[in-house]
Amino acid sequence: METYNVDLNTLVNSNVDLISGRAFGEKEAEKFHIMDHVNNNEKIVIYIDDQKVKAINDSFIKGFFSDVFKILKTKERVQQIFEVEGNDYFIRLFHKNWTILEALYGSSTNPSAIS
Amino acid sequence: MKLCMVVLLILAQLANRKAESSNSLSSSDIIAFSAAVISLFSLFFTYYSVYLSKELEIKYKKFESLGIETIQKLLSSIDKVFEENPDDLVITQLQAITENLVDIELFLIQFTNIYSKLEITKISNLKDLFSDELYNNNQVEIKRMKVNYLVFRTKLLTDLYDFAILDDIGLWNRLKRIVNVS
Repeated sequence: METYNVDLNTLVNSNVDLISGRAFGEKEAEKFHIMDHVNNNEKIVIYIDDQKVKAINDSFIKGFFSDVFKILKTKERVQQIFEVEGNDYFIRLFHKNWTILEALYGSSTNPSAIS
Repeated sequence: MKLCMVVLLILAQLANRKAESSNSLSSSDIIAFSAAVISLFSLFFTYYSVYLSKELEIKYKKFESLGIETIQKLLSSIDKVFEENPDDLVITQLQAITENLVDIELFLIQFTNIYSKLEITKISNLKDLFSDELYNNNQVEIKRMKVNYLVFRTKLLTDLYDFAILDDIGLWNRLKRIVNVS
């Protein structure tokens, strides 16, 4: 299985050390061709350096992974493909948001949950 | 079942009296019978209303203790951030606040397994709006975002209380059930 690296540190600079926005997340997922790598069954590793990235808004994570969950549906399948390399806080944040996305897009979807 | 038996008993007595007198029912018999039927309906309605109000009370307490108290507990962590660090810049507390907001959303998502009619998307949007405000104002002092937080907090709790009163477990549905039965 090939590995593709997604370096989220490239999304910040000396002026902006936060990552935020659902639309920005969607745009970055397109820019990194995330769905192509998912379809090619590649392993995707997301790198976050907490010295560079101070915080990530969960809206960004939702935008970044919304298409992924539409296809893969479950957190388990996403975890087989994606890996987060960062401190415990960021790993926890991604995993919690994956649980939320699974509920929104997964097989156990609550019909009222998606508008 | 008991009510049916009482009604049958009254009808049997009236039939018996009719047979004994071999005359048609008098007007006083009809009035007495009508009064008995109305009383029985009133008794049934009262009993059913008490039953429904008790059911509603228990369901509301369940919703309050499972949902609203948990949300208030999660919100208290954010309250603490605002109270203890009023002069810090928002950016210094963003991780803590973000994590607590995600916990609130995560809890509510799981909560919809019990209360499936809860509009999680509406609440998620409310949370995202507040969260975006914080990220957009990350260089201001926390105390300057307190009003935004209070608005978010109030709207969130209002949505949950509205749901409790008006929707799934709500009074309105119980009233409709009473009307349907009567």
